Amino acid sequence: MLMIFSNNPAVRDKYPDLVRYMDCDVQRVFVEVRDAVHMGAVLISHPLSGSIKPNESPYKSVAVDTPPKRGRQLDLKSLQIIEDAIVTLRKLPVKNRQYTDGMLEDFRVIDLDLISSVPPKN
Amino acid sequence: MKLEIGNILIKDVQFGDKTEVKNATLFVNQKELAEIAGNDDRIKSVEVFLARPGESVRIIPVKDAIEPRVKVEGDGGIFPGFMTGVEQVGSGRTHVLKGAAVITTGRIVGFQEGIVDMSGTGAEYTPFSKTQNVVLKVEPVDGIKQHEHELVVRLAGFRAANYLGEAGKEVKPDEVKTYETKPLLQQAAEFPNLPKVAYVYMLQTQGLLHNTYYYGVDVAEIVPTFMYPTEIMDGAIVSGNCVSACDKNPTYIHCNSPVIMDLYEEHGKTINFLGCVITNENVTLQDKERSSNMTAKLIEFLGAEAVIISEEGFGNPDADLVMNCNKIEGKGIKTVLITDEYAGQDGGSQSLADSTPLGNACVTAGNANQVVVLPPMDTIIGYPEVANLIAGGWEGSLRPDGSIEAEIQVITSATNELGFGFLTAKTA
Repeated sequence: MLMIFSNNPAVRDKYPDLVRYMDCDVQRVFVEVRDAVHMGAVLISHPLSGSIKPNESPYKSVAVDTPPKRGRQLDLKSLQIIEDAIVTLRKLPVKNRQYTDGMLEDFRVIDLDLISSVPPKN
Repeated sequence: MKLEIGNILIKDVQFGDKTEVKNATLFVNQKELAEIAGNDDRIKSVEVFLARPGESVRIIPVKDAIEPRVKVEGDGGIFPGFMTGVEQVGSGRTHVLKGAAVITTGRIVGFQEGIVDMSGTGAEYTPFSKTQNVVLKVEPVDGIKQHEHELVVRLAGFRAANYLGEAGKEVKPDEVKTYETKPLLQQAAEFPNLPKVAYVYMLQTQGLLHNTYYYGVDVAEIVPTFMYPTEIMDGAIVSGNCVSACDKNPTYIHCNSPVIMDLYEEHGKTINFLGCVITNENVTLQDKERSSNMTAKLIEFLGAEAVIISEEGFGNPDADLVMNCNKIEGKGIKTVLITDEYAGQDGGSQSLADSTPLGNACVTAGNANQVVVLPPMDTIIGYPEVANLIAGGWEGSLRPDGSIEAEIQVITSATNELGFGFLTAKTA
């Protein structure tokens, strides 16, 4: 089943039935996705989507396919990708910027646009 | 497919009563250009500036750079699918105002990046410090949303470039170069003793501000396809992306791709250049798998013995690069990869977000995290305060004296992955 881990309210509002929304930072989103992968989820979207670096945008959405109740094998490829993404995020320096409301909206719109190629169009 | 490129060398740009080329100078009717570029109900105003090499001028934030071109003979026009119909381009004759560029600036989103300095340290990193620039500052009407805003500014740049290109239609070029790629079986037979080489041209296609178009089609929506290399010289591929300034490919660079130019340079001498496969860099892993499968299949079908693969951007495109490399190498075809690096400010971290042991021939365009200080400039076209917000900058990047301390990723095309930048390494 498609599930989107996201800290982006615009994604939550657009796909209320698909989103596991968390009010947290990007690193926390990645960690939640990693935990889901350990429970059998398979990555659908790449966590490093977008040229806006994950330490620039405060918003991130990652789509996974969650397993049915009886569970699934651990998908090692998904695990490697999300672990690598966490390493990449930690490598990038933290920037304590004060974004304006307009800029935050731009970040939300871009993250929403990137993830919108995932859910079925209809 | 055969295309003659007539280069009209431009060594200066000036405002004038009439838009024309005289004695290697591009004269621009400022009012007429502003009217044509701004001919869109969604645009409130267009201001036109000139920026020449060596001047104390900073352009920030830069969206796109476009080279003025005009079709003189042959089907179609420049930027098919946007400025003209969708006729196949890449044959006949095209004139180029070589040395001139249209640069678009203006806010699109709050954090859009891209700096072009015409002198000082920054000028050593951006190729657009060497062009005679006609700069458009485009302001759309109030309330326009992000997607439309991007489109409006992109189209204004194309209209301006094509308007200026028309000035070269009747001018005798200073040099004429001919590029030709024949239909596959003929091309393979032409130089039977030379290794057959193809080019995998990866295009950034993830969404808003990360898009690229081929004949007006969003490349995210295509499956990989064959392209005659001359098609790009008529603007078949255009940029709709304006984040990641250092390693996005502006439209200007697509038209002048050094990879394609160098492959043509060696065509018939050391290699037999078969043509290009264009492919995308999408968000989902299924799209990545599909596109890399199709790319490898096409490369095999072309009969290539070796392939150059260029990436656009950083992060998840590294996954596309690695998939393309693995799958093509898996068919017994050699690959050479072109990328850039995000290796940390000290250069000590892992450079890419993905890797493969088969990527054993790799060209780097530089480390985007390298820190530079750009001196203050007398004239700023645009909005200097975005230096604190764009990728590669930080709070305080813009100093009180107007200088900027930031990573070179803020500089347009500093680590361009088609090799259009200036960074290089030489052994003593």
